[in-house]
Amino acid sequence: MAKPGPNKLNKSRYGYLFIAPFFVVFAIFGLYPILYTVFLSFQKWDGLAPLAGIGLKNFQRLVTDKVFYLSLWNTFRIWLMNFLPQMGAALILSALFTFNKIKGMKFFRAAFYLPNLITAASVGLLFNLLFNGDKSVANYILTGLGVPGAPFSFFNSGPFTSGLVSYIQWWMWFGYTTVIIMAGITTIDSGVYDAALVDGATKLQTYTKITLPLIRPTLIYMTITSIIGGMQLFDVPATLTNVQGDPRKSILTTSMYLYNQGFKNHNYGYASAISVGLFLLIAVLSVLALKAMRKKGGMYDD
Amino acid sequence: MTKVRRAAPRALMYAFLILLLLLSVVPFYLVVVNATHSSFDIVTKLNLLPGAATAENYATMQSHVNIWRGFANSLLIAVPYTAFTGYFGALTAYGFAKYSFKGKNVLFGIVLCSMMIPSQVSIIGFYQLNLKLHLLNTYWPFILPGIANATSVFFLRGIISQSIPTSMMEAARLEGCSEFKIFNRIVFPCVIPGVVTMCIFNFVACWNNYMGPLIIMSKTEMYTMPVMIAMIKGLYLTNYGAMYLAIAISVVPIIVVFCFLSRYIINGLTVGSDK
Amino acid sequence: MKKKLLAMLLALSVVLALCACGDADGTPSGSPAASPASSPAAAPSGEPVPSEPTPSDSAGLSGTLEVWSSGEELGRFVEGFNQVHPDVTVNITVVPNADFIAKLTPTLASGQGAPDIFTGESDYVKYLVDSGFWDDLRQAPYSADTSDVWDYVASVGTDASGALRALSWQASPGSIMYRRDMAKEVLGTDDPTEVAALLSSNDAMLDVAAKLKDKGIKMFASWQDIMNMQFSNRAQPWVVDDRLVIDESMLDFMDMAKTIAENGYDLNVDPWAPEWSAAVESTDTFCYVLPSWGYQFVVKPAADTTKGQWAMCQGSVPYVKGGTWLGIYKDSPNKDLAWAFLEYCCLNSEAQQAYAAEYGEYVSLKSADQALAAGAGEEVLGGQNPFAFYNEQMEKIPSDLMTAYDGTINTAFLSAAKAYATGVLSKDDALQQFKDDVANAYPELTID
Repeated sequence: MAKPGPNKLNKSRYGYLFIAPFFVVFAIFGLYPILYTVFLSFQKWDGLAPLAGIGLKNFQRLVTDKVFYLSLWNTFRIWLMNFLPQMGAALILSALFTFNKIKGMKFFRAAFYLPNLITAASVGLLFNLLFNGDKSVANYILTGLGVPGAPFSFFNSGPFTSGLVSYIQWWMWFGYTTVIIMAGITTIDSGVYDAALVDGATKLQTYTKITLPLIRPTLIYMTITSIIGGMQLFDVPATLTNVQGDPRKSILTTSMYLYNQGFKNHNYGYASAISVGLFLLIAVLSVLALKAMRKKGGMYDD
Repeated sequence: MTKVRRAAPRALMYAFLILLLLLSVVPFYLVVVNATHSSFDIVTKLNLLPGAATAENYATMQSHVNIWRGFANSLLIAVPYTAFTGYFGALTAYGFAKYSFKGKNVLFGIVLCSMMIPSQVSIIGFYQLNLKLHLLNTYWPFILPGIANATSVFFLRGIISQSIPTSMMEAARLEGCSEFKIFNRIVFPCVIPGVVTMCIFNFVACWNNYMGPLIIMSKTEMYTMPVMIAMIKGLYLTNYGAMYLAIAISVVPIIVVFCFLSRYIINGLTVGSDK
Repeated sequence: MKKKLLAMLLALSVVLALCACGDADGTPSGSPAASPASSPAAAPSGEPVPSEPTPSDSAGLSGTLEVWSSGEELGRFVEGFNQVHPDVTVNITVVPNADFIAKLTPTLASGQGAPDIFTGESDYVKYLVDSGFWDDLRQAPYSADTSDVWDYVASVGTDASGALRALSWQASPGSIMYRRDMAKEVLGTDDPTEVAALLSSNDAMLDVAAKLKDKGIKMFASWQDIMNMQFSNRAQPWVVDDRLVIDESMLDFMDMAKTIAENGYDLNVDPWAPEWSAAVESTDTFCYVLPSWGYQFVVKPAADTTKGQWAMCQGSVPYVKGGTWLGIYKDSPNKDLAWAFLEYCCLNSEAQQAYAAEYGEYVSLKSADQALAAGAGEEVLGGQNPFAFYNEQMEKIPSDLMTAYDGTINTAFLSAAKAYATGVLSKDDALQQFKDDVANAYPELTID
């Protein structure tokens, strides 16, 4: 490599150079599928017969489709109900790990990561054993304890099933979130803490007043990726009951809905329109979250 | 008195940690224990102790698929993919974090948007693309996208902009280091903990990828672990024992990777108590 | 400088892409796209078919046949097939059923990478039959003779124009599989004919359920299993002339489901739930309402202490549920091999007899099933011969009421029936939910 000149202005082209491999590969592998989905969203196509352009009809249907809105609400609710406790648990854990000497810290952290490794298929079966049927483990215990109303038909209850999906999502991801937040904390110069503690700040004050503002980029990262991933939730609800989101569509997420419209009902054009709609919504949510979190500190763009 | 007052919150803290530990470990333990039970036992009761059907499950599993072949196939994809996400993720993140150039925000917006399209339908376009590139029945469609992993870029951009002072780069430049060398010799080693954190996550995601390999691969001997596990399960859901054994086997490398990489992972820092 | 870098970058990406492509072509036996013979979409008319398929006396065939199957059962025919055609390599790729259509659609749509033969499950077989992607097996060069095939099997494989698009190696007649010991205790007999007489209508079945309940026995594992049987009560399929038809019998079934749920005549679980499977070895569950594969995959493998305590009989109406069909891809370059294999599995009575004898699966040819009906009975069934029972049922089943919409409509109906049975929705609201679901899935249908 030739030595670059000392002129600082010239350096900016290295920015392009360094991000170029990403964009070249993205252009090859990522762009076409996305553009093809957008193209399909303007078509009527059952997967086998030739395509037929129908303009905006799919989108006209989309904006009046009650099931689409229901699925969006389901997805958002399930996401929010697992994101908040997940952040809460991760912040508490990272605070504990940062301000206390905890024996076996590495062991705990590794163990908390384990649920993330179990595939969705086995999660579905496991939780069915626990809750499906009058003789399921949960009902066995509740009946044994003489709880009034037991045995319960857990999977006939929309709120229960939806809550269970949120719990499973929380359970699968809180360890990961903890690892990420701790990664954020290490980027803080430890001198900052020493100064604060010398000034007589309590650990709690140090954490909320110093640590949290300083790890804002990590928190933003966590929130945005969680929105993006959470709004595309598919496997756990699809394997927990059936792919229709029973009972009564209470866990039908938007990704499940578009999968059904495509591969079950063979409305691929409409399924693509749902994809595009979901994409736009995720983008809007992400921008809103970014704006809300950036406002206070303005640290994001260094 | 003070001793008691100090011990109580500590006990509470450990109680909290142990509760979370049980929540995390018990279901995982159940998966491993189920691998040693017959399918009928698995679907009819909650097994808490190891059973005696491991050999039988292994035979069933191998009669359906060659699991070790699937294991090798998954490694063949996941290892280079993960390495790509680590290196190119840091490189791209560095470009975004430390250089100013025209259109930077728009380009970063594209990085974020690339994660937002649901994969379920775009898999049709993905098939057609790889058909045109003559990459069907190869592993390239799963390895190369590691170079364009948006999550890693997003995460590492934050880490780099926080932990690499621009003065460090300036100093290296004064000593005549090329920009590329600055990244390779100075920046990359500094952010290795962050890179490793992302790599573990990416390895797991890649290892569990099911739909992509199923659509692109049409040869049983090229199938990856998750596809083989779905095959074992069978049309009539009768091979749970073999399926759990396969899941247990498929989790092993992730744990190995985790333990191996844990040394490099960000350990957090402990403040106060020991000072 | 800037341009130089850009050029380098472009070169790099091109090299990268070429490497990847080069490697792909270098793969032994080639990717489907790489073999020149498999680009049928580009030249549909001039497709070179290597040799004319010649049925029966086609020894001396050679080549590789690609088969996609949603289950592994089909693979069991390969060994026998290779004794007749040793030079044909049959590559069976098992594709998990839940995602079979997801894998198939992109290949059919692009016209490249599709296999020579692919299967279709009962939930979506009509969709494939109507699509025209399977060749008509009655036309030359196949000229299939289906006189020995159970009518129902051929009828499902036939499209609206009368073309035979698919055949199957199996048939799946329904049954009620009940416990002999409990029947004796409560009904005073365990003889299948006498038990069947007691279950000859829906009302009669509910009467028996009440009697069983008095003794602390649940009649059904899950009422949801009964739905498949009730479909046979319909006069018309779900969709006639693009209009949704809700047969009177389906409304009756909703009430029946509610009666069962309210009186606790079943285990209150979904089919395939842990407790449902466990009922094979229970002390308090009387019967499963399942077709032939239910015996093979649910009862038989799990029956241990209850071996010999099972029997099968007809319920209120004979029925059929499930099954896997196979057809030959219209642009397959190996139609001669494909036909040889399909004919071996679906139309060769000796092959089917050998297969059924070994695996116990009920097959699609009358002659094969009749030969097996003469054999000894099953230990699990206390000596009853299931083939004899199924043959009788196949003679009685009503005509094929399957449509391309069944997979989705059945699920939607079950969901509505469940909401009504468990008391969450009124009957009208449940029906409205059902109609809304169907309208949402198939906007082109008229719904009253």
